Amino acid sequence: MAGEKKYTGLKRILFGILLLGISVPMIQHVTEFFSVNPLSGAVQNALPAEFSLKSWMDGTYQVQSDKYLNDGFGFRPSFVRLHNQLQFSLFSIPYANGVLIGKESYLYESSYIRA
Amino acid sequence: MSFPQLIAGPIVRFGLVARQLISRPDTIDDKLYGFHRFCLGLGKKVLIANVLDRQADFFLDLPAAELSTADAWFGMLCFTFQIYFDFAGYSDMAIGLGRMMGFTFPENFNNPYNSRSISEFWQRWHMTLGTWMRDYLYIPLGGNRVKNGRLYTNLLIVFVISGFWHGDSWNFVLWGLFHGTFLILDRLFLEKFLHRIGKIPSVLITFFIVVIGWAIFSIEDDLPHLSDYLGRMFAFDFSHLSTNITTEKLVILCLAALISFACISRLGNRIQGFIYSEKLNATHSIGITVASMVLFCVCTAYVTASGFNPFIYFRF
Repeated sequence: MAGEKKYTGLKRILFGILLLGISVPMIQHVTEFFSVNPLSGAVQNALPAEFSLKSWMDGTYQVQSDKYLNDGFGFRPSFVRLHNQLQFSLFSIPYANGVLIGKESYLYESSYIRA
Repeated sequence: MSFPQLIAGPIVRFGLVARQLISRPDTIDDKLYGFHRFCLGLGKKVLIANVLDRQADFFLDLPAAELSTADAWFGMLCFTFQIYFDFAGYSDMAIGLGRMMGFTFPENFNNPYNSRSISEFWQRWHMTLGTWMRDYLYIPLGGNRVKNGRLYTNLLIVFVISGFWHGDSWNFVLWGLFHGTFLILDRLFLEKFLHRIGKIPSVLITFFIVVIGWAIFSIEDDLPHLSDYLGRMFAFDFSHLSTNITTEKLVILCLAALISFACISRLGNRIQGFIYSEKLNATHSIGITVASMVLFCVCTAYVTASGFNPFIYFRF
């Protein structure tokens, strides 16, 4: 235990970095400090829930808030892009809508192929 | 209320946490280790169990007549690793969250697929349930201090109830009977035999029995389908392998197998000891912080891009 206590200061800094790291999406959601390119595509993101006693009691406020935060938390587009890039780089799976992988890993949009 | 472990485990008895509820340490080591442990569990759930879940469901939902033997085994291996990584992941997350708040919850898994007998498997799988069953069922029934016939009956009773605990479906009762029978066989001759034939063969035979057990466990409320599925697993029909099996699922299955069996070797044991080490020096602290952050970001990316994936053990 004595050895472990040696690095308490460093560990506090590291834990602080971790807490800051997991808070970044929430901070970005509130402040929109960084400009993030939105995802392409026709997607209707959920709107913020309107609070009323009725919506709270029947649970619709909670459900709508859940959808809103899922669709719009900070850096969501970056996380989706990270997922798609990992899937493409590791397993050659194209997650972008309507995209196919051709010869030598060239990407094609299926609508152009069909045309 | 201790929310981290409330729903699925580890099963924490009051005696274990009574003192901690009143007074518990608040150290930075616990917080750092707890976060790291939480991220490891999250990784097990999101990056491994969720991928295998989709594959296992695909095969389990197919009519058995459409399955080749290879398909049936592939699907069941996916379920075998899915249920382990899902539940062990949940337990890691619960233990990690608890540790960040100063609670030390008991371990729930100890490399169960490295067991050399079914008796050993139950000392390594859902260990807190095993302890609960032992203390509240097996020992009150007489424990080991009874004649052999009674002992075997007690084992069957405990395991049938353990199966029934998972749900009111006949397959869970059968699963309990299946494991209870192998525990009796272990006491009669099987465990001695398995220890005589060497480590790797005994681990493989035990794993084979466990996989058959998971087949019984996984197909709920449909005994004819269960019977057909088991039939396909032993039909020796290798005519085709489903085109649904992608590189991603194959790679994740191999990774899951590698992690599950790694501790058979000394090197694997050392690597696991290093990853789960609670002795945090400067280098280790920096290492686990970076690893946890990367794992957390990747898991967030995968959770963001996928739908709702509840923990499998929430059903039981």
